[in-house]
Amino acid sequence: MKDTEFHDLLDRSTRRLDADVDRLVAVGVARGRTSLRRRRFGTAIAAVGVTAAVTVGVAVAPNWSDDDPAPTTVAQIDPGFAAAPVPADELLPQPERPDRPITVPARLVPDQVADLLGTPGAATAPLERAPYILVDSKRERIVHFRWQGTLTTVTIDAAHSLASCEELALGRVEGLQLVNPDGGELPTPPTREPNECRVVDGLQVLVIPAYDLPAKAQGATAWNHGYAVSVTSYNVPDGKNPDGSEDVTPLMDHPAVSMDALIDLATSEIWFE
Amino acid sequence: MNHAERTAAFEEFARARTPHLHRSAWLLCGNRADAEDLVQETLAKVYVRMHRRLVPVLDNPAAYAQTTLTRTFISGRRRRSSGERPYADLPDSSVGDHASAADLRVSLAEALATLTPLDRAVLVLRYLDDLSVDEVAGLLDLSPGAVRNRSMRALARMRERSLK
Repeated sequence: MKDTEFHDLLDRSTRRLDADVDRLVAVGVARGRTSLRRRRFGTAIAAVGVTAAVTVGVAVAPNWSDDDPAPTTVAQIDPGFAAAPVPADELLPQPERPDRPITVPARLVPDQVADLLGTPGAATAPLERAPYILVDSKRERIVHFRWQGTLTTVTIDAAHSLASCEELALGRVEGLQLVNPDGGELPTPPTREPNECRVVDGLQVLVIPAYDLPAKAQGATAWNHGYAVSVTSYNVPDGKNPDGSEDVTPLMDHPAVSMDALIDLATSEIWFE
Repeated sequence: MNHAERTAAFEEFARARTPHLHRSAWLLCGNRADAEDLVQETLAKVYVRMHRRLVPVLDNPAAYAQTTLTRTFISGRRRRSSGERPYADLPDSSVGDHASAADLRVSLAEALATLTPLDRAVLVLRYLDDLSVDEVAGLLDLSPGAVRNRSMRALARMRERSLK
């Protein structure tokens, strides 16, 4: 059998194979999406593992050396609420200061988010009435709008003006008064997952799961191109209710935008293309 | 390119390329079920690659998909500790195909089933995808000489099966 004959044989024998292209592509996409989510989840699990190891290390370390004058203070912070360090070798280098402009005007941010979420036209125009503001400066965006009737906030700041991911994650813990320097009993921790720093496609990402204030919100912040891009989703039309004038009636059980989608939004290159 | 654009680009590429991937997969696997699973796994891997951020855009997604398909097939076969059982599963016939083409596929699948997965991959890449010896060698991490030897040996085996 000559080469050309074998080529012809393979071609003839498979030319009429019926491939259900639509189904194969649909399943391929679904499996691809699942794989992407697993990668992120796997990173989160690894980070939690590191957290546990670090916490145990802190608790045991004073017993290793009698010279260590520091008292054991691990009881001040609930181990479950400590921020996980990000494996440095997974992070792509980032500039200290913004290395490019933000390309999406503030007024187009809602439509951009709606497009990325696959719901074109589902976002309102930016909210500008107090307490909301709209910021559209060279290196900053603050945009509040409603998506599916719920408050959504996008902020883009120069990263050097903010604390680090780990500091921000821990700051939230202290803000919730889990640290008790007086040594008294700690308050009951809120029943939510801890803040977490992860690496997503080489970017450092702060994940803030849903928590109860009066409104339930969750958000993600990604450090990219010298900026911190934050996207927050609520389950209510307004996020604040200081004087009772805002509508904080929950529209749904959880924030409207899933955490995966928030991470996708925060890590998107669209803000800088 | 944002997420939605990447997804649209992927779906356009996948729809255009899937028929060819399916043909390669069928020749490698010898039956429709395994071939479809291989194609779906390949598409999933290409989807992930095309949605990764901060990595170069694929210059040749078709070649990347073909490489992914072949390597996924070979690594999958290596994981099967029990090895293959040639002739255990006759290939499916396809409703609507001409009987002669279906018969030809049955004969071809039986003959290909006598080859090792690597030899099968060499033949498919060389004679269905028309890749050069050097290209196949690079794709399969073999030397060009090894590709030639495997190709000649596999073709000789096919001749023994009296495939014409």
